[in-house]
Amino acid sequence: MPEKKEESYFVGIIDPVKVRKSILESSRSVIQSLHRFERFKVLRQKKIEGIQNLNDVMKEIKSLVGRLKMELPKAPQQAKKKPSSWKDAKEEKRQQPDSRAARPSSADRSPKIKSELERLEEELGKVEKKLADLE
Amino acid sequence: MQENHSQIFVKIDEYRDVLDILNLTKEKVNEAKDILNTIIRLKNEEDTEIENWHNELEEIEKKVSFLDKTLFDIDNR
Repeated sequence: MPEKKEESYFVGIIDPVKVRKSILESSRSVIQSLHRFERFKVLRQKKIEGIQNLNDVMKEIKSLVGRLKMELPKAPQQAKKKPSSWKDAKEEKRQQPDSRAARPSSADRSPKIKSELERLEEELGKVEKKLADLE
Repeated sequence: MQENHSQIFVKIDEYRDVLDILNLTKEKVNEAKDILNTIIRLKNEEDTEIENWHNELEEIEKKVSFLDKTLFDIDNR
């Protein structure tokens, strides 16, 4: 018995040159994108190094400012101006933030684990308090 | 109203130290500014790359869509 040949079907491509060109152009664009990605990675690496470098310099500046503070004598702090009337005193008290509300609960923060951010926030608070005392 | 700021005196050798530290601080601040400018430049370059990337991807999408239409959309020929 003769073997039955499988029939093949063909789909016509109307503009094969255009199709081929489109495939090649897509391929080129993909390769260019991959190339761009490599360049992007280098840029990002450089940026990360820059940020690290900036962080180091900022730490150095902080230490230098600390040294300046140590070298200079402490200025006597002015006593806080007394309120002239009970109304002023009441107004002043009203403007002050509630210290109980500002203080985080023990559940929120563990004293043992203090992140760099929390340490800086604390330091900032101290500096702001000193500035407020000077005013 | 006259402000009552009492004057403070600093020993001359300590004063020199203070000046040295201050100069060093100024140098470091300039260094930090330079680094920050470099970071800004790199960030802008990154943004440009991302923008180009986006445009290129759109071009690829158009071409793939054309291929899809040409090869598989037989009914609408």
